[in-house]
Amino acid sequence: MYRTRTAIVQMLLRREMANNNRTGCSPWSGFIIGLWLFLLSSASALAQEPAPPVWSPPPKPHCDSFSMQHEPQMTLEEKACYFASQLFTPSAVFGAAFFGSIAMAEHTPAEWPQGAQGFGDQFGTRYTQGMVKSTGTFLVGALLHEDPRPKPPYDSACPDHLHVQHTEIWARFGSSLLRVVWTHNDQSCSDRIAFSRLAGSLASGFIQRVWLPPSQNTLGNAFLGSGSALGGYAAESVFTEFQGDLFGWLGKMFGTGKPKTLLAAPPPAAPAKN
Amino acid sequence: MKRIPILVAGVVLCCSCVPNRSFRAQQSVYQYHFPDDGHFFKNGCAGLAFIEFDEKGNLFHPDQVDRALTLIHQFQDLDQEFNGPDGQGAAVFVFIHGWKNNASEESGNVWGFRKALDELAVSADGRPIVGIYIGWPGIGWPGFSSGFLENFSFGNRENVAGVVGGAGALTNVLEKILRGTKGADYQGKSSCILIGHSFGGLVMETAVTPLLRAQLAGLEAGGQTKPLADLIVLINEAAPALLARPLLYYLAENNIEYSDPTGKKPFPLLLSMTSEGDVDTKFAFPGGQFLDHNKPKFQTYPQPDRFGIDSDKTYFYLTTANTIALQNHQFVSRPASTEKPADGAFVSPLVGHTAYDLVPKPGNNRTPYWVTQLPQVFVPDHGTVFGTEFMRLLVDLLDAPKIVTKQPSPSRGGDYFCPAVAVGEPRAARAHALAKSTPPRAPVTEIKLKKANPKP
Repeated sequence: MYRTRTAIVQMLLRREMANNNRTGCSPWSGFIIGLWLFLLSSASALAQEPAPPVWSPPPKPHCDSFSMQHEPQMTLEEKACYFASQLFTPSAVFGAAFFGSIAMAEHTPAEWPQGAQGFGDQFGTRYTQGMVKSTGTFLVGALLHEDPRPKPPYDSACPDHLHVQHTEIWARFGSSLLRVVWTHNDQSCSDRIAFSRLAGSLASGFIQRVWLPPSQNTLGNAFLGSGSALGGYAAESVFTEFQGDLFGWLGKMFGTGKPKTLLAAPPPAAPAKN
Repeated sequence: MKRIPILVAGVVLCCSCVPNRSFRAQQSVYQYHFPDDGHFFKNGCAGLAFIEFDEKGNLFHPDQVDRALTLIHQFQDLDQEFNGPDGQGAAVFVFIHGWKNNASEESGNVWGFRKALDELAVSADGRPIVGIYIGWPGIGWPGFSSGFLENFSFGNRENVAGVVGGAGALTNVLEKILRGTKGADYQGKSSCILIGHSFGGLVMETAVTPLLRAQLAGLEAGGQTKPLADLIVLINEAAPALLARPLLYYLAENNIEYSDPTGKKPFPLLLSMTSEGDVDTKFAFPGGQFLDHNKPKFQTYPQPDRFGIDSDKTYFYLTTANTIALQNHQFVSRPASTEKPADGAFVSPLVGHTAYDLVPKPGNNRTPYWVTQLPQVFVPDHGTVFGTEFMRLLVDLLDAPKIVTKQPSPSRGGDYFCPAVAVGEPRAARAHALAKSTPPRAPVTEIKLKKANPKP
């Protein structure tokens, strides 16, 4: 901006000087030259001052993976994104396939066929249960302002929060299990029963009554399914708690690319002079 | 049944089909005053510029580079204005993201980098911080995380990363940024740190190697020169060690030393670090390489090479930092209060009551290309690279050679050019607590890159 202005000033000055050379110097033109010179000097003075930065706050995050993982409090939009991201995951697909296969091997319910169609029924029922569980958890959680993440980040604004960093293995294990049924309110630092996970688990257990054959369509089985769904949350919570340790342990075990030969040690370096 | 393979092929193709688009066409430069929300941001002030490349490695908008350079100069002026001639200049952090990211607002790395800039700004003690985010099409569907399906684009995105890094445009841009920050002869007092994460490490290494090679090629035996960048960090790099081998060989064969002028304090020309908990590069990366249909024909050497490796396979399947034969440094932990730093410790960052000394590790790699495993306290896994501890480590690494020996100014504490924060606010206290956590080092006025005389 300054350079442009200086260039214009210089151009006008040159034009004025050329004009003066042709017509001779008058008091008016002398005033004009003086004015240009003043402007020129003030422009160079301006150039020494850096343009002050126009500071602005960053935009609001919209469901990016970093913010969803690290923000102590999730917005409703982020909870919806989290819910959507849970619908089609490798663990959801492979979990449904794995437990569907076990049920098929045990041939329960006996009314359902074997083969591809049977596997489809088994897989479909478990996958649908998973979706219902996620949906129930999301809806109740959004209504009651509960955090859906298995291990929300530590919130420095809530120092007495449940998710304190334990170091002992059993304390961490217990804490991870407790987080399944005990969570905190987004809008305060208070902890309370995790109604969303309980509701999601119950919904998952009872939804299967819609399609299960009579031999399996009992209240006991519905509660069994609910317990199993809650167990899924517990497993997820424990895994999340110990994921870092597990990865670290695996990483340290991983030792490949070892050298086949070692070069001779270099001569010791002279001590550094201070 | 015949439709299933077609469906799977369609899904894979869709995941590999990345729209070639820019996200910062209108505005690519920002000057943030991060809020002090008590949860996420910490009230820092920093500049952020985006420079975007397409999948052929060309710039989307060449004027983004000019805008970024203008931002750097503006922050250098800010340093001059507020810190005077004793100022350390601006600290410029150039970050290249990895797989499943791009320059859009939906990219986790964009937000992680913002958070890191805020973190760096509050601990920089008044030194202006500028971030340059290098974007490339590292994700399949913009604005939508396809989760599991995105994993099918591994090979495709790895190839694109190689193209973006090797096309030449990025190399030119990095050179412009480095010269724009440090001056034409790299003598300026501002600092520039280049960081590449995951496939971004691949991009960075591919792009920066020609610059390093060109600078080193111009050196005569016994000659010295200034370094290009103050620090080049490859964190959890997802690139085969095959990529690093030519540079490693060049450095080894030409006896390149990188140290302070006395030649006694070695310094990393490149620093490749992978988290001990990064199972992605330790397990998934070799798997992805195995599935690569462009695998080269491997050869087994008649005898192990100078690093003790006897086959191309090792270099192809493993990343540099995961290849034990190439590791030449290690972090050794000790209680902070009871013991002195280990001999030869380059930095000794503190985490809680534990200090981690970065010390040399005996082995075949004696080049200034430092390779190490990183404890999980700094980076817990592959993706979590913007944590506080890692940013502190970067600050420690940057401070290690004390390129400019100015001491922190206790009176201003770094709050003066950031608006709405008074002197003596918690931000300054944090900055000084951080400064105190780093053990004092002998001041060194400059560091130099030296090509040693060939050993007889």
